Amino acid sequence: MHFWKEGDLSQAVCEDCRRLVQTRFEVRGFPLEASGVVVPGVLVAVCTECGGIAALPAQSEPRLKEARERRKSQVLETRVPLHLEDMVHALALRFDTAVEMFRPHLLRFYLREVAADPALARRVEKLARSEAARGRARARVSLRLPEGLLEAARAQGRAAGLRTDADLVRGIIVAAAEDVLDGRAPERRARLSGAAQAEGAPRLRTA
Amino acid sequence: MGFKRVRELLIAALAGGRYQHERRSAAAEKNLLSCGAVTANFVVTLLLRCRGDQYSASAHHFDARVRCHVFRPSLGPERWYVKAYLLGTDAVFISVHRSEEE
Repeated sequence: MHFWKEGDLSQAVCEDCRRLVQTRFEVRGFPLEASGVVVPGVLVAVCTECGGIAALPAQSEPRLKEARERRKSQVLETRVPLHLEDMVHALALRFDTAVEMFRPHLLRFYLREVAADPALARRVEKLARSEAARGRARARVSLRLPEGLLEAARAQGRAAGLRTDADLVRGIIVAAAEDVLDGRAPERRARLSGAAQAEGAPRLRTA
Repeated sequence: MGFKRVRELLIAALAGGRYQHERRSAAAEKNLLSCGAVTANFVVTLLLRCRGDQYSASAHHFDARVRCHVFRPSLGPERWYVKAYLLGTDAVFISVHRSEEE
């Protein structure tokens, strides 16, 4: 796969000069047409005559796609009892990772699992009604999610009888505690460990 | 340079990441590859589905020295429009979208 570097030369038809010109690759802010947001640090092909952006190299596509999709993300806001937040801390400690980094990965991981697995959604619904999930909702949970994930998890949750985001999150945290801390789901625990490791956690101890 | 050679060069450019997108207004609608709505592999599929009679070449609307290559393949019920020019073995894409006559 080819990657152009800053300073490399090429050619393109410049929309402003209205002819084929020499271009130089430079790092610039690139304005997204629909939103007007300027994505910083994008490699672009700049016209050496007028200084305008003449073209965009293929390698810059993912950076712009990511910026567009981040704008389309959704936010899940809810509150959970303090002891459930303690469970999240215990889970983070089990993976030797910082809770602030781990919490969003844990919740996104389980939301994806729930979205794909009706049996897990039913279990989460049962756990959300269990004694372990009850208590005064004190701890705030705020989570940014890719567009579609929250809707998919909510839809699967609704089909299983979950009525609110709070129930979904409560059930998920208790399920995660059972899976990891009580050793109920070693395969899921191993995949979650991979996600935690990507955030800098050490490899999971097998003991 | 004929249809098959042009297609071959464009596919090689797509596979190797040796392509750029011409800056244009309405890029989100007119160049779905540039905004990530379709992948390079999908464009390769479109090019492979294109028959010789669905290909044409014309001068670039800004600079007649630049020869543009237009592919109008069908994929399922949809017709597509792919327009690009070559700079040696590198490619510059102008349009990748569902068909409507340009």
